[in-house]
Amino acid sequence: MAAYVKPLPEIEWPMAREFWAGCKRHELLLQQCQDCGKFRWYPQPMCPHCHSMNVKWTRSNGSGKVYSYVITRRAFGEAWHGDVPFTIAVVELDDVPGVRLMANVVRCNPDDVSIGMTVEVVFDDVTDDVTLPRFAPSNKVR
Amino acid sequence: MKTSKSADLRDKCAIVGIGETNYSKNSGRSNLALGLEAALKAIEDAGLTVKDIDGIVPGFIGPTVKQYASNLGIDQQIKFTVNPSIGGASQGAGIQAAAAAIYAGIATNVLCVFAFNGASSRGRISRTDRMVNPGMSATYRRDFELPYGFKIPAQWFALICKRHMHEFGTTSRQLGAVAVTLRKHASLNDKARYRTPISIEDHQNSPMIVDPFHLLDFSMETDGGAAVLVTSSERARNARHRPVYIMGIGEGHYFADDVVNKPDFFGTGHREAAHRAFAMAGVTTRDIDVAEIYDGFTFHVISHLEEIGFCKRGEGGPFVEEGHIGLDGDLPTTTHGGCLSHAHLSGMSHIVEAVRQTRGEAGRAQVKDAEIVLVNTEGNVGDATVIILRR
Repeated sequence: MAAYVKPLPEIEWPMAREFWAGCKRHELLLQQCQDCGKFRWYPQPMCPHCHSMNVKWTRSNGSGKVYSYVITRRAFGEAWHGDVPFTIAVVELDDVPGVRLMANVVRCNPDDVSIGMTVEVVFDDVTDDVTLPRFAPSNKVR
Repeated sequence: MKTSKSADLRDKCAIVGIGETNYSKNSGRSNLALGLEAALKAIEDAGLTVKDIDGIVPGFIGPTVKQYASNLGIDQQIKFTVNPSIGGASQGAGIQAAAAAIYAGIATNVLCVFAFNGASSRGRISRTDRMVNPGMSATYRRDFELPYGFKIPAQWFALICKRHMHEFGTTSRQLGAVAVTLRKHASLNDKARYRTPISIEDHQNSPMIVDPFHLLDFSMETDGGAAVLVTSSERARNARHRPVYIMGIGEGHYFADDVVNKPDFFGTGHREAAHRAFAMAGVTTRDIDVAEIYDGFTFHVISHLEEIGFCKRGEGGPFVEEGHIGLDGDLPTTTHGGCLSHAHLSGMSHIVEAVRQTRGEAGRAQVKDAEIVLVNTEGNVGDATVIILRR
């Protein structure tokens, strides 16, 4: 397998270590306040609603809808030369109110992506240590 | 002690000096040299000397307070410094802080300066081989966005624009109307970098870079520097030019640095910044004669006009297409051509143009009877300031 040359997340960053560990197990986990139950993303130590520092990581089933997206047609950096044109989307998750995730839409021609399209998370084991969540159209996952 | 309210600040301070370097793709000079040139010009324009400066507000990038103070030889007389770090909104936030300090009697003449080799330097924002936005949010960029190829400001705003098009029917041709109008304004400005008129077809035919943004939706980074000098309205009476009073000023924030998760996807700090500025000024959008709207991208103009309240959210596209923003329209906008066609100085050049319009010194782009002029600054998607100036 060719070496993965694109930037990788820092999977040991304490605030999100559980997220990346979940991804490696092919589970999508998100921060949920232990006290008031509200979800939040991006991960941060304090709940902005009730100010509790007690957090847990709760699994999402990874289904959602494309909220918005861009198609990058010109590579910004060597690492993406082979990928253009590619899609970056913001996806609203069905079972995690208020949370949106950013990821590429894969298994789909960029010109076929649309706002409102239903997608499911797919896990891409890009290296031995790092798995990235991405999204694919629902009919390309089952 | 009397409790003060923000409206107390209305008309208490004025901008009395402006200075600019030339704008280019490669200045051949350091950020500091650019900043010092702009500073000296602003001081001279105010009819003051370097010895009169007792406050410094540097840019959020570029030279530091220490560098300006050292080179101007005025360390020991500096009573006030502030260095906001809210991206481009820092320009306006710095002027707000300067006005408050002057009103409180802490400082008398405050130099606010921005200088940066945005086009030629290794530190420029659009560099694609490294991360944008140092600071706390760098981790979010690095871990949750960059791995997917999301790295430059154009992508942030293209993402918001795409949803705007979906919800409100905003079109690429409407973005083109912004590009065409601002280029027309720039063609009247000798310092503008791009002056050849363009058409909507030119805009549509320019290459698609980050769908939905064409090349002509992007501003071009610039090497240059600009400065303004703020003082009390009382002292402004002795200035060389007619004073430009700060009638109202406000700062606002909305989920800055978070393009993905903010509840209101189109929300920015402009709504609150405008509310606060208009409350201090005691006027409404209907009283504004000229709007120097920040334009890092064409879409910014639509977004900012909506969020500041010149039109309803979602109506910005038709608003710009119908010609309201031209020099002959009812809200002449970004009269120097902006970041898109004049120069990208993270908003400082818009503040300078706002002062010129209010003074009646904007040359061929001068709006007749411009009495109340608004200028906004934007940073990190969600940070904003709005300044209302008057004759």
